[in-house]
Amino acid sequence: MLLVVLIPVLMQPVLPEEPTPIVRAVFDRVEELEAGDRVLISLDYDPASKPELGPMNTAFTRHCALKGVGVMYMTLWETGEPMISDSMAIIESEFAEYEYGVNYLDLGYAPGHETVIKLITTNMGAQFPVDARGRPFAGYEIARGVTGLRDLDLTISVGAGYAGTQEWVQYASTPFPEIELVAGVTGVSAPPLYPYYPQQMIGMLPAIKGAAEYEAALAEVYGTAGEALPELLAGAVAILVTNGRTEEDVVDELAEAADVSAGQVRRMMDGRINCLPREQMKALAPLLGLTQEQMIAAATEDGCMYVDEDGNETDYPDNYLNYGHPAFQEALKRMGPQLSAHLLMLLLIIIGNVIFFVERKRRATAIGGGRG
Amino acid sequence: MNRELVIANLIIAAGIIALAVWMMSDRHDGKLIGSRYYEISQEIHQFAPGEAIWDSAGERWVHPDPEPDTDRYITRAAWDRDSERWQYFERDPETGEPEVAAIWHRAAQEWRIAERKVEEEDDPPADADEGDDAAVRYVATDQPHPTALQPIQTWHRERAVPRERANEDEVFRSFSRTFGLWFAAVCTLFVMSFLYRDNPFYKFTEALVVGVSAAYSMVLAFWTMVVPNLFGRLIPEFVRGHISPARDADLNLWYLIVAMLGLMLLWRMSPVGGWIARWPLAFIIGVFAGIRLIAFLEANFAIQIQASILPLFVTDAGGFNFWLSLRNITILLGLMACLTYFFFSIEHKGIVGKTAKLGIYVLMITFGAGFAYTVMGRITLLTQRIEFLVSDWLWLTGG
Repeated sequence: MLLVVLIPVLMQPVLPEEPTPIVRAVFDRVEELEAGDRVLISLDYDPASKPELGPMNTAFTRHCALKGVGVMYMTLWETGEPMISDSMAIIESEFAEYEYGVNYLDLGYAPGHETVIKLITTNMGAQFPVDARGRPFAGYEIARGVTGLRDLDLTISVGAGYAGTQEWVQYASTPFPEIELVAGVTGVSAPPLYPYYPQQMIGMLPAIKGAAEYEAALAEVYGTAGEALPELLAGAVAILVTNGRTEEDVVDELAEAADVSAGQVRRMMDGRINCLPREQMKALAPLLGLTQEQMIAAATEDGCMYVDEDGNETDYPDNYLNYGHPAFQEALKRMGPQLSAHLLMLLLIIIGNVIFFVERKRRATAIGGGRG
Repeated sequence: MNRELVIANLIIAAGIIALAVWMMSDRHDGKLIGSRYYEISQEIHQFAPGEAIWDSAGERWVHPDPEPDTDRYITRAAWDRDSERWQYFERDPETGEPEVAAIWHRAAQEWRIAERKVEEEDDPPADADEGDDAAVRYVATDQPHPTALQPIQTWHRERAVPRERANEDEVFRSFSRTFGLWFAAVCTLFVMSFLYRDNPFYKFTEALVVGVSAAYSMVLAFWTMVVPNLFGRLIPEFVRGHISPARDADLNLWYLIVAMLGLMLLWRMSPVGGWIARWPLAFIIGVFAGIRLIAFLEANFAIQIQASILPLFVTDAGGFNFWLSLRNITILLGLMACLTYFFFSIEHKGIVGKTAKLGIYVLMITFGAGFAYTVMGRITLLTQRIEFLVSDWLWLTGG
């Protein structure tokens, strides 16, 4: 089993996924949110469930930030605070325009399980007089006009057990149908939660499969999964490297020319940034022996849009990331080991059954022969 | 420890060291595998913490005049929430009122003399005074302020960066986090060594996890539950002054009862009078039974009955919807069969027996699906651990 899981981890295949209706419902609801709307994400899990729920947390955070939605984080688990830190690290590294207190807020750990949910449905200020940094909740711009959960546009529960999604259904979305709830849950806790869909819960991401489907939906809308531009850049860089310079030297020169970091250039080369701003292409093209038009053509082939529906020229910001790149698809990458492990288990089940029936037949024959 | 076990563990240790030496070769430009790289994302300056007080009206820390009776004009250094900058005040020699004298310049790491700007209203009344409606703001000039208080300490917030950026100037390797990652990798191998057999390395890691988890939970519960909710109500001034300045709760003596119930709960550890702990326990169980009963009745009983009442022949815009109808019929038949299985007032014979048997099959399928989900979860755990070992630690994949 170790080998069967290890090999796909090393090979990193990304398998295609099609969102099922229960996952699509979650994606569509988040997609419907508008810039300036506010959501609460409750990360009710610990490191033991992070392999399953971490990718969901990441996908929800990215999706909300891509939509310009304000996000408040909280946790009902004392071991959940590092999970909030993970989300905030994503926001700080990928969404530079997001500002603490204006676009996102860390409410921290709230002890009290379901009593917390019961309270914040009507009075968030009573449960959170201050945020995790010790500053007054009411003073933050994101909290303006928020009395209870009903003033938020969506509640997202990412839960591994008690207290978790079941409690959010029981104490928030059921007594207050105007509180819209979506969830992401572990495989162990998923089956008893299915009956809540769709009356008490808009949708749910069950286990790592649900997270992978959500990532696939995200890549469909926010990913530009082409290889044309990265290949063009890699080819041009390879030519420069043969002229007596190392790849590192070339990358540094390109970074200086485009006024970005060397890491940013490497992300362009491996396709994590696929839609470059026009200015950067203009700066890079002469050094690479290319024209700006060649680079725009390659990026367009990858799915980047440099012209809008009315024919006007458009551009991309310099931190625009390609969410169709495997580097941003943690859950999809974990479906490869799932497939091989399940195939192995099926094989073992078949072998076990064959051995069982052969043994039974042999025993029956031996008993029959003995009688005869 | 028997000889066989010692040899097995020595082999594992030798393997780890050999792998590490191999990986530490030129393969990664001489970089130690498993290194964690960080950059500074924010600088936080601390000004004379011993003398700073919390100004609840302004919701900020202020530094009062350290020598009020001297001729020094230094009044305070304070964090301005609107402009998100440190401001340094001096008392106006004529009026005695504090004025912003300097602004902390983040990039230059120094105080710059502040210039007072009065923003004119679009249409100010003829007799308007400057102080009435005009907004006053301060801007930093290019001139450093010679005498302002200097920060006694500067804190850094650090942000993890991928290892591909390790060569960048502003990126540095964190020794503590690199050590932590190596320690986590070794502990992972120790836990996996249980597959061979129970051994002291596994026992050490198991005890470590349990101990650290318990300590972490206890400390966090104390600071997030007991301190703000109990002490914050019984000794609010102390909590505001020393722990959480922005927490604005009033004295509430009812919480003495809560404190008493808490102490009674601890009585359980006493050799005598253990029964005292039963009273708060009864209170807790009673309250939770009340809260949970209503929630279960509504969410898991009433609405679930409602959700089970489904149309068996579904029609939509395209006419008869076969698949949705089949789904609803299956749900209804499955539900009735399961209920029949748990209905023991009639003997399970004939049609009732057959329906009950169908109920068993439905239950088996449900348990099977649940078990499959559990297996999927466990494989994910194994996958993530292997990802951690080969990617984060050994750098065999990823960036």
